[in-house]
Amino acid sequence: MAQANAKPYLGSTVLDVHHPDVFPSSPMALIGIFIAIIQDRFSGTNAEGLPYYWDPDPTPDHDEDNSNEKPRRIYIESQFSEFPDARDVLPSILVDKEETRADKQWFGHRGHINLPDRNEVYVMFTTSSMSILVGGRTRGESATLAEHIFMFLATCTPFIRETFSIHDISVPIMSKTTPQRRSGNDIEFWNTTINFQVQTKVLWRTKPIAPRLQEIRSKLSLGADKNHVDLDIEQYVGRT
Amino acid sequence: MAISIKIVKETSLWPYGHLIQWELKNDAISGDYTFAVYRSGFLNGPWDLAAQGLVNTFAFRDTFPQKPGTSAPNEVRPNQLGGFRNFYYKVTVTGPTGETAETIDEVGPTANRHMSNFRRKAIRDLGLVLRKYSGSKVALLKRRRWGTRCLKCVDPRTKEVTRAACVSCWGTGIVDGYWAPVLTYARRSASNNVSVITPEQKSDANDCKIWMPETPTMERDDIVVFMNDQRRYRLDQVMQTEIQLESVHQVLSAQEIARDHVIYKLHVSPDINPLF
Repeated sequence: MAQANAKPYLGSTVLDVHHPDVFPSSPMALIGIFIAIIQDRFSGTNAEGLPYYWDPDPTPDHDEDNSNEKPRRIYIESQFSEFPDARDVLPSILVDKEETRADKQWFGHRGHINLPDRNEVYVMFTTSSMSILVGGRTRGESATLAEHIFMFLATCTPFIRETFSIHDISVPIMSKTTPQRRSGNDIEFWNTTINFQVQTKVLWRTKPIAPRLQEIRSKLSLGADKNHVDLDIEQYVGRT
Repeated sequence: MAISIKIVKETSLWPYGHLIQWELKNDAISGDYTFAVYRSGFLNGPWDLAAQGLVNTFAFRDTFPQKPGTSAPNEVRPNQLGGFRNFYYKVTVTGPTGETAETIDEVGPTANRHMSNFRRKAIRDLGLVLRKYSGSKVALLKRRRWGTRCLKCVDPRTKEVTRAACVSCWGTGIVDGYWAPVLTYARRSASNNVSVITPEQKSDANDCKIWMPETPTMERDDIVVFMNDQRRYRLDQVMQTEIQLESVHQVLSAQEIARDHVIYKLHVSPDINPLF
């Protein structure tokens, strides 16, 4: 599997190409990562011998006949795009995130405390449900493409975790292939859904600054004269 | 006068086929008249030979036999196990002097003579309106329901089409996908364009009603191509007006096909440049 550009950051990750507003392990980050992975699965040498391939330009070439020699372009993007660059293209693989749940592992999320400086480290896991819709114009097309994605995710989980510093990825679940009609004005097509869970680790630490401030204050009140013993007792006020 | 032939009755023998009966006109010359019967799913063929060498007979019972040298599931026989199957028969005759004639008819009921004339008038009036005023030229593509299964994209066990953009079967699972196109006139209602945001991103959908003559009979999954603006529509529903069960005209509910569909590569008219 080709390596994507990734910056490990406190146990979660985000792609280089993301917008600065997209934080590591945020919904947009997770959706973007899995879109990039699946696009890579259908690109270049990874797509050799398949009747489908991915290209940034969604318009199929005229001579594509969905054979292994002249494969058909496939559309891989996120769901619910408000302004997509192409509409109603099939077959399509559309990725989205459902709910994200924060899991508490220890009391108060506390993982560690360093007594000398009272720095505390906290750990939390977030579990996000991912869904991938595999759409096709026929039942067989949707089902066979979904099978590709399903097996790819099931077998490449360790590599995906390692590359993107994801804590855990559950085994995928593939639904049955059913007909869908987006609106009463539309022709029906076939859809297969693949669901799985992604668990990311969130770490944060706290550093108490009140004692540090009071240290500074006591040094200021003592001044530069080491013989001065007028001790400022206010440094102890407020500590319980 | 030249001989002519007319199919006078088609009797459906569900689910085992049809009984076709015909008669000759102007058959003044004594001798043997040899008939051949052909079967198709649409008005312009292509035609499958159902029987030949029928001498001085005026009926034939078509039981949809398996083509010689073929077998299921790779070769799908015609059958009547569906509510909306259309069959067309062509009967040709060769007279004692070698003179030939032929007739084509769709299987269906026939109104009695008096009401048949009313029907003819209604059909003629509609045809005039469509050709001169409100209609547009269309090409009709009727989906094949029987024939050789596509070996490139059909799973023979589940009979599912696994590649919808296959140009061997045009995504239908049967080689050639559609019968030969038929050109006629039809009227399309104003479009009801709808854009909705769905999990499948923003989708543009367009549905309409189409009014067209009584023949050829259309059914769901058939394609109507409007030559004027090159839009292609897939049929969802077909309703007919009838006189004594015989169709007078058809009203179709149709949805526009997405622009990347493989059906856009199927040329319906050889006269247009670029090929369309």
